[in-house]
Amino acid sequence: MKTSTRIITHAAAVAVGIALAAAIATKPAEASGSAEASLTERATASRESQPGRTVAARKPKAEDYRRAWQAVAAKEHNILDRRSLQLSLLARWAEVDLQGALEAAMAEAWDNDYNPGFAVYGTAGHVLIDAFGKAFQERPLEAWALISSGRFGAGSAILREQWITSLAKRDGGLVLSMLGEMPPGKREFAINAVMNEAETNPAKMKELLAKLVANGSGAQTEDWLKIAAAHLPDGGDPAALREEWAALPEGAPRTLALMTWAASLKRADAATLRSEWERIPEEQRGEAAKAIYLPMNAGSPELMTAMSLVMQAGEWDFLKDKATDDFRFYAMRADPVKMAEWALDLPERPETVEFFHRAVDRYIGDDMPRAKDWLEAMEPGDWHRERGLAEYSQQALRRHDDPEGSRWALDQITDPALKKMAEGWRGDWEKEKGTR
Amino acid sequence: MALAAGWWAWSQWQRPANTHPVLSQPASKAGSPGKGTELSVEEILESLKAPAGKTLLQAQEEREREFERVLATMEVPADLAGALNKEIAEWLKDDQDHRKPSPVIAALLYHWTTRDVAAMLKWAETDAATRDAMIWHCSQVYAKAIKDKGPGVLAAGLAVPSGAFFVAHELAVGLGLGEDPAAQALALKATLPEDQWLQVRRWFQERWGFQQKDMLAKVAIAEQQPEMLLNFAKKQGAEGMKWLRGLLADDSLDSGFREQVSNSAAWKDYVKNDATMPLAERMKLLGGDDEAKAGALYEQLVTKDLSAILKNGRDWRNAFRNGAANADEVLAAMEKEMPELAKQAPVALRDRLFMELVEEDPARAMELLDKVPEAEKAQIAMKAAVQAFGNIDPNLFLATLEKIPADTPELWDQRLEAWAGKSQSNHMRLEEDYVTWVRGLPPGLDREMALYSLAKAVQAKDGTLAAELRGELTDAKLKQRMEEGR
Repeated sequence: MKTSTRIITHAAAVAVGIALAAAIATKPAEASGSAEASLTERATASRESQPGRTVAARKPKAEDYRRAWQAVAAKEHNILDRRSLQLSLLARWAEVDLQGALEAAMAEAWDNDYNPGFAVYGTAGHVLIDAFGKAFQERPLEAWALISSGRFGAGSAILREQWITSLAKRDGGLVLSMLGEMPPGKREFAINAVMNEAETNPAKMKELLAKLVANGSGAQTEDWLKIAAAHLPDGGDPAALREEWAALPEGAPRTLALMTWAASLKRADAATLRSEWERIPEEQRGEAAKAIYLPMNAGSPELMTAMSLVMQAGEWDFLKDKATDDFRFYAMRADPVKMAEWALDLPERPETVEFFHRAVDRYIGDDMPRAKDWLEAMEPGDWHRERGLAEYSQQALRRHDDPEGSRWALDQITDPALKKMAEGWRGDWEKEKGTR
Repeated sequence: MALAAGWWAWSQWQRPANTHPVLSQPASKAGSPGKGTELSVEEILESLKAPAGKTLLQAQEEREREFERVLATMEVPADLAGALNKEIAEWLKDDQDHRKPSPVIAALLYHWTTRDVAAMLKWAETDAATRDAMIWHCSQVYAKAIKDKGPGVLAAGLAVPSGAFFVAHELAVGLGLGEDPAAQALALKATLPEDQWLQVRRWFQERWGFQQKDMLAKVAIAEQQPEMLLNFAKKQGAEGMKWLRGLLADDSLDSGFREQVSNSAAWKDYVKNDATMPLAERMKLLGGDDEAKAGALYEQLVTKDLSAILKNGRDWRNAFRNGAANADEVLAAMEKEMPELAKQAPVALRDRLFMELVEEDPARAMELLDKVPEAEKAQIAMKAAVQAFGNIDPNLFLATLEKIPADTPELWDQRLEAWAGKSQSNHMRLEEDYVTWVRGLPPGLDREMALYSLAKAVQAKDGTLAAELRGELTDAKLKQRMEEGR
């Protein structure tokens, strides 16, 4: 999913990480320059004590790394030190025996016990897999063959994610040429990973888009192009770009031109977006709205405008599929009052339910008495009130530890199906409280 | 996520490139001919240590010096944007992994920031390149700007949404380093609209050091934010909590605020996490005097404390997984670390430890339950299947379920619940490879439940696949549920 790699833009998040790391750095890196020196000393000593015997230099072999790996388990260290050692060992081991190193890594725990929920990009949550980036970059096809062989079972997905993110940096073209061999679910992720790297390099971007077109076929190419071209830069002349795509017949060139037009608008203000869109003939407004939406993400200033165009065009499936996650993150940082007001205009549809909840959750949770008044002033039976009450119950429980408040809200819900679901949510909370 | 990528990128950049170690042959025993081509484990592990290079601190100091040097000698250009764009074009020639911050870009940004931070941030919105440049250098630039000109110089930046996040963060850090953080912070507050102030305020509890504890308390009280005080104390670890408990015990806080703190859910949560507090005191603060509540409370404390010990102390789980320790040894070690709870709630400790170790090696973890009657053993194992195994290799989850006889009707619902939970999370993480794994399971109740649960999990996004999976069901009870639309 696009959003998972671009909530804050990739570069932004990278740099926040850098800033935070810099701010927090207190420990000096391991500084043991003596390792090689002492080995040479010992070698010299041995030479001196045994005249005539020559010292042969030797690179560690797979068996050596395997023995060292086994010795690590016996050490009495904490999680971070153990991992740090294993990461270094795996990176070296992978150079001489990729399969052995991978098998060892996959036999360790797959979760992040130290910091659950915290994952380094490209490791799918399995911390040790980060050690393989370089080996994958240097021997991509060997790595791919191992990953696709099936020997890693369910865990292949983890390794594939590392392969994609490592190669996206080194050779995006190769990743794109392998799209057909990837499980369909991973292709969007791969395209985004590759195109993220090209955002500050127009020549590279052009090259990659061409490669994409060359590797795909039919409708699939166009789907891929829509994802990739969302990374195109903004700016340019929307009117000219619009004429370009309007004039082309169906096919990849048209899709590319459509997305170029849409990308040019990704930082346009609301008025410009609307007026550009309204110039499109009625029958094309659906695809135009979708195209306008695709380059945006939770950080885009006019995300809501783009969403409203999609809704106006009636593209509800698209809205649910593509906009739900973006909206969640957007709503977390937007003005709660504005969000709540916007929510009141949402039409009642299965696709908009999640949007409603995320739009009102902070407004309600921030000030429960105000929320109570707000809900009580709504029409009984109105779906906004019903859903608002369900959200009120959740906020009461999870944010304020207030079961009475939750009960008040639940008792007022008139829709039996919704009430059952909301009671179920409360049941989950009660269960968690019991064992927390 | 990408945040962590940045952190990691930082640490990788600081480490000099790995050079391939060449290990000389160890000295052989006198007289033995040519034996000892084996590299010892110690030698290999030694060779992993990076050769002496810059420490993170040294690198940071060097960056500071270069920045100061450039600032001292630079003539400020009239066209800052133009000068920046030129420098950035050069800077971008290195790809992300090899890029280093540029003291010239930093200096240019510093001049612009101190003149008109909002204009600088607007310029930074131009394209991906300018955004990257701003983000890479802003921390250093803002820190110096605040140091030289005071926090007010950055305030206007809070009004620019694209840059407000970093501005708020550095303002908060900068305030904490100043002469009188509380007074300066509250003075800044008076100049800001509320939502901008809140963006800054949220960082105090995260970034101010322990030496600013009294200042932070002042702000928390002035802002009526008991949570700020609590979160700060928690972040400071044992020292911080000791200080907070002291504050609550004496008269330094006014009674209203003190009550807010001690009645808050955050404080209760805090006490639950503080393993250094005497157990009796903890139980009292959490309402454990009530006999009925005590059992559940002990379980919660065991869970919290055990988690913390396993996380921060010796990596017992890994040792257990790799055969360096067995279950009884780990239990003995835990009893030593948490003696009071081990005495008051030994069964809770055993069961909680089981839940940790079963994720590493189900068969050997069962040794903890050797003396437990079969029916109870099955209950404990099933509870683990339901609650644990998030993000774990599904084969270990399966192995655990296979230890629980499938013909226990009382546990049927829980088994299904376990599969339901894992199907969602495993499919989200492992996608098609998980589907393949499920379809490859041997015949039996677990396979049926796996298929049923996975079908439900994928229904919304892939109805075709869901139908295919359901097509493979043979279990009568599950098929009936399916027909009922459950």
